[in-house]
Amino acid sequence: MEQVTHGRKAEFEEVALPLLNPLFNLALNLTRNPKDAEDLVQETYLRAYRFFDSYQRGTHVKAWLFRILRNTFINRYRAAKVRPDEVELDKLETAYEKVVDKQFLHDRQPASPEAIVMDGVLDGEVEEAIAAIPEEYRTVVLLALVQEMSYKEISHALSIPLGTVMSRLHRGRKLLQAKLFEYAHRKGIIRSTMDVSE
Amino acid sequence: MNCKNFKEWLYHFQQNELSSEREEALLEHADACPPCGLTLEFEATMLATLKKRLQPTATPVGLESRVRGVIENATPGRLSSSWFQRPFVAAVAASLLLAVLVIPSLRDGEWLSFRSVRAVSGTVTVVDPICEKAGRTYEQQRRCKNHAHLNTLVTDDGTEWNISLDDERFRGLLTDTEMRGRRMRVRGNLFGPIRTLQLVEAEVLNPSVNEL
Repeated sequence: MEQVTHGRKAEFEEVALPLLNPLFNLALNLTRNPKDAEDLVQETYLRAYRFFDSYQRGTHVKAWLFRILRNTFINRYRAAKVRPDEVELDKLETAYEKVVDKQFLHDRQPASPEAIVMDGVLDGEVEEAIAAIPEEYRTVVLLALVQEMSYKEISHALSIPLGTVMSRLHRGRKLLQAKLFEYAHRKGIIRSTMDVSE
Repeated sequence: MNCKNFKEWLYHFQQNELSSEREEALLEHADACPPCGLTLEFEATMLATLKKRLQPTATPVGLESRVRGVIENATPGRLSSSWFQRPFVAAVAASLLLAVLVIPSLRDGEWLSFRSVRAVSGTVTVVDPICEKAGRTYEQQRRCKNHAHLNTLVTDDGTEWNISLDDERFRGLLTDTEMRGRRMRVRGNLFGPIRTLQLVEAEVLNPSVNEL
């Protein structure tokens, strides 16, 4: 029995532990708190180990672990989950599209997108912008942009259809960029208003 | 390719998810259509900049050993099952556990810090955690026939407790699909590090599926 346990532990550690950093980063982006992120990662590994039998050898281990992490996050934060109003999100997205269309594609204002994101917005504000978008969009954006996972891998990791991955990524990116533009507008880096009541 | 298709496919292009034919068509359109060309330039800069800003953070020192420690002390699922299949071993272990840890903890209801066991009670919902996290309803969870899906208990604040196998009265709860979505009032001993609840008492609050 001990040998079996040892073999399984070794196999689990071999496939799962090299993914500690990507898991920690996703956890950090989801929780926005290093301590919570560490706890989330620890719980993820514990759950993954417990369910290691259900993992199909040879399949995408990263997607499997990300799914466990995300589900653990949802479970843990279920009570605190507050979903932003869809109407507000629609307005924000529309306001962003108007600003981009007017200032960047027609007026060609001096501030480039790079200047907005790199110089105009502080680190904390990028984190804030990510945290401000609803979790289902945020996770897809992070998996695509930071982990560079394909649609298929994200679909597998989150147990959602490919079409949903595409639409969430599309909308998530728009919302993230809109939030960054909001900060840039507040600092006077861009002229057009991001007022969603317009 | 028109401007509408271009906008629809742009993010897929940036994710390297377009076929080579579509990719070619998209780039040709961007060359021929100045507004779409500018959009491509804008979104490419935006994406590259975002990726730069979202660079991974280094793993905190000590996290790996913490995780290794947790795995070292944990029991994988299959071994729990084989333990469960040996009633004699289970009975001896359960008796020892009751004598050493559970009875004192139930008597004083205080934390037993040396083993992180505490007496708890409250209202929980039985869920299939895998289906639950995939967003499936309780009705769908009850229909799930995947034997690898073992039930867990979820408290109202979202905390998940695994069900201990060491009392035969409650073993069935782990695999009973009909129990999914049902509310229960439970009392038992919680093993903190492994979030496992050793049930002492359990009462189903909504015994009929129709009441769910």
